[in-house]
Amino acid sequence: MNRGLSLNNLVVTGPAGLIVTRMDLHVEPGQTVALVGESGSGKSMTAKAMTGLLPRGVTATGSLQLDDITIDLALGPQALSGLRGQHISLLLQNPFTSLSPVHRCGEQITAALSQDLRRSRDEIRRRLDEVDLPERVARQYPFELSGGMRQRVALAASLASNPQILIGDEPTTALDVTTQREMLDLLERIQRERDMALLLITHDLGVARERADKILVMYAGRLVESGDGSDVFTHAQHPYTAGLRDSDPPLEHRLVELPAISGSVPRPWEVAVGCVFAPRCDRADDRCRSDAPNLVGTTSQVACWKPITVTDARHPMQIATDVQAQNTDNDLVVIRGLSKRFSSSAPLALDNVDISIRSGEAVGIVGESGSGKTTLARCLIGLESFDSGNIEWSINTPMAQRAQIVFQDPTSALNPAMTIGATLTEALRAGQRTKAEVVSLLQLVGLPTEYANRRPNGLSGGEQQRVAIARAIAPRPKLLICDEPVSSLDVSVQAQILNLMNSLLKELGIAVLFITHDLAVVRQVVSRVYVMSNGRVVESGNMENVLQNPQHEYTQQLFSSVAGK
Amino acid sequence: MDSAHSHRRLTQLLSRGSLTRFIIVRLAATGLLLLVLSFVVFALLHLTPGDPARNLVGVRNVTPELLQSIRDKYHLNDPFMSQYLHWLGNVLHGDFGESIRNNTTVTTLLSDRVMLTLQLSSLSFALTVIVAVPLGIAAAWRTGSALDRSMSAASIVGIGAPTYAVGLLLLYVFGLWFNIFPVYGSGDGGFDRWWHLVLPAITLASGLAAMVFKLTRTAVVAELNQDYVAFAQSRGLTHRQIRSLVLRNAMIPVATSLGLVFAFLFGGTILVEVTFALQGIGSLLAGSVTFKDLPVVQAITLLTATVIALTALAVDILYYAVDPRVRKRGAQ
Repeated sequence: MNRGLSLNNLVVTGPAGLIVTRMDLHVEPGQTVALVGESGSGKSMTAKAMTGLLPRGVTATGSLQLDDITIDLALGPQALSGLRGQHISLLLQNPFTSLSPVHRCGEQITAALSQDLRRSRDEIRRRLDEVDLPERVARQYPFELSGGMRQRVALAASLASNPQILIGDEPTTALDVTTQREMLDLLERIQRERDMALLLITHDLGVARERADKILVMYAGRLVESGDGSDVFTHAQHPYTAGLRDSDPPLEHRLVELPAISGSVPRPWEVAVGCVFAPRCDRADDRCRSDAPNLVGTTSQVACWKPITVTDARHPMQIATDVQAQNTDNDLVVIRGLSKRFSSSAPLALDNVDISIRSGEAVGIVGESGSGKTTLARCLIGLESFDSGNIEWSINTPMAQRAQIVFQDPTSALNPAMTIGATLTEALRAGQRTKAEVVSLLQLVGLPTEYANRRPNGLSGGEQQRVAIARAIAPRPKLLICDEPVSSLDVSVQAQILNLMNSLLKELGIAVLFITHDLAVVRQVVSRVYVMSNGRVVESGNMENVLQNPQHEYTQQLFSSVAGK
Repeated sequence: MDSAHSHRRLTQLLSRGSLTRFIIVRLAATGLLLLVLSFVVFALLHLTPGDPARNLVGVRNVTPELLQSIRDKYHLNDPFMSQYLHWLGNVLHGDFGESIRNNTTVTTLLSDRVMLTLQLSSLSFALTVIVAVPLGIAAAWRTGSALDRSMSAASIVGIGAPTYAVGLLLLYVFGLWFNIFPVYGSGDGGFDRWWHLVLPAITLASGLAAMVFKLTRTAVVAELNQDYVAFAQSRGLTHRQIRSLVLRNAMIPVATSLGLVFAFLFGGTILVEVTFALQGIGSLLAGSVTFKDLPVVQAITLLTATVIALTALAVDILYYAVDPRVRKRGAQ
């Protein structure tokens, strides 16, 4: 009997063209295979094709082999309906939307069971116990649970009919760092107990490196490299894999500049001839641009004409000594005893917070969701009121010239109806500056000047975030607040934006308040950090010191949760 | 001991988040709303230009004696607030005064007609729900199918066609041409009454059904695109199970809009009543406004408002029953 699951020659086609091109995959029972890639790489479409859940207008060909069953994917989603549940199950990214809001958790978990098991209380208790949830959860609704608990309920539901293979599509991405680790540990334990195969789809290299037996790297709808565990990254053969690895910011040290891959991920159907990565590859030659390489190799495979070999010198990375803030005595803004409560029954959103930012200094606030970090930023810029405490600015200019903010999601932060030129002109006017500066602003954030006439929806996520940054610095504020500015971006683009921010800081000499849940990211930008938890600052100090020698229990927990670092 | 027990029982009943407490609070709010409204309705009499007493005389010959008797009867010489309280007291006892046009009490005049309008709205509402909701669900389930496209096109016609035009067309086809349904009047009670109401009810329902169809379709389509549907499919749940998940969720917006539909129906029968010569409150209101029959206008306004407010209350209670999130928010 041929155990495990094989996907052979998968091709997914959408209305605009190819989404996934010739994809092969094999997962053994008890094995974890990670499918890694940036947005648009086709990793989620691969999962959807394997479960027959492709959106309307998207079709697949190829075959899926499970035990002795072979299914021709060209027959359409119906062909897979018999496999779903008992053979293959899918766990989705967002625990807030993957459960029905008006049905009790117990009911949703046991829906896939047989009629008499569905009513058995022992069965429900056993199912909840497997995912470390108390029995009371069965009677609760999803909205009464935290994100981590909801994802456990979803996991129990997807395991209900005892699948042989579980596909996790970014199953921990929406969770906090500490919860993420618990969830991954749980998945690993259940997988071992059930001898179940796990296909882990993720954009997080750390998670893949730490958890997977085998890693497949996808780029623009193609498999570009595969191999055993972390070897894929340590001995990367494909320039894209190496680029991805290098642009993932390290936690241990701060780099002078992150080695970013230029450009952004193309849409798979836009690549006509040659290697998909050629336009962004600094090793590419004429053959790379005219012929597409095939995937070759046995244990590790790579699709590249000029793979990186052990003899190739790796880019030396320059480690920066942590920059100390200049003119250290000059406080730009001092926050004292700030407290805020959203409603009388809610816990304190901000609890007696003291924070100071000096002129020209880069300060970080690190915390998980609900820690109060975003509320603090909104209070600082005047978007939110506070109950007690005070915010003292050392400058007297209008708010637009004191502080500006960059949000997480540039797509919703920019007005889709306005051209980029108009957006920037408006922001310049807020700082009493003229339209003439639009060109220099665009140059400053590394965008072509003709973008002034375009609208945000034609731009990639990274480009949109550059526009958002340009808009924020337009009125020449003394403080730039960045609320998770790179969280919604791909790893390779994230590095570009971080480099841009560092160069802007140096050039403009403005102070930055960098708010994030990602320790490695904040490490690359700030010199001083505050750690927040449940509305309180639990630790603060020099980035280097806090990292080397975390004092507070929560900080230690946060650091130990970072995957693969 | 016993009183302690009943006290605890009461506290439990009225505890935050309990249905009883919710209904009591909402009832109180509805009562307050109607009280404010009654004040506005009463003020109508005094906001109308001219002497209130003369307005109440109507087309009768005005003699100083008559004016004086009307002033006495309606306490028009009392302070405004005491006049209002007096009127409100009567209203609460079902007494809206006398009609200016007909020499009967407003209450007698209304009693028959309210029943007819209620029957007409209920029949029309039932038709709307029975036809539009299942069609909306079916169309959403097969988006882009022939059924979906033809129903969507038909609903545009239904929304666009004016009520009186649909009414006349139905009258012509089913009343005159095929001679199946009566063309005129309210019938002789019992089954004959309902038989007379079929065409008017269809007329009213045509536009509303189109709206409800669209609302249902949109609500179900929105739910079908939710992650939980994909997740349910990926776990191998049956078609039936998935349908019940989706419908339970889609029911929430649909139920709310149905409440609005009923309220709209009750207050919007006027054109149909006139077209089909039905003796309902719509046609009465039209006549009373023309003749400045203020007591009748006041009564109908207040009555319609009460029906709308009670429908809103019913929708709120339904909401509470079907959406656990509303229940728990109440508890917080």
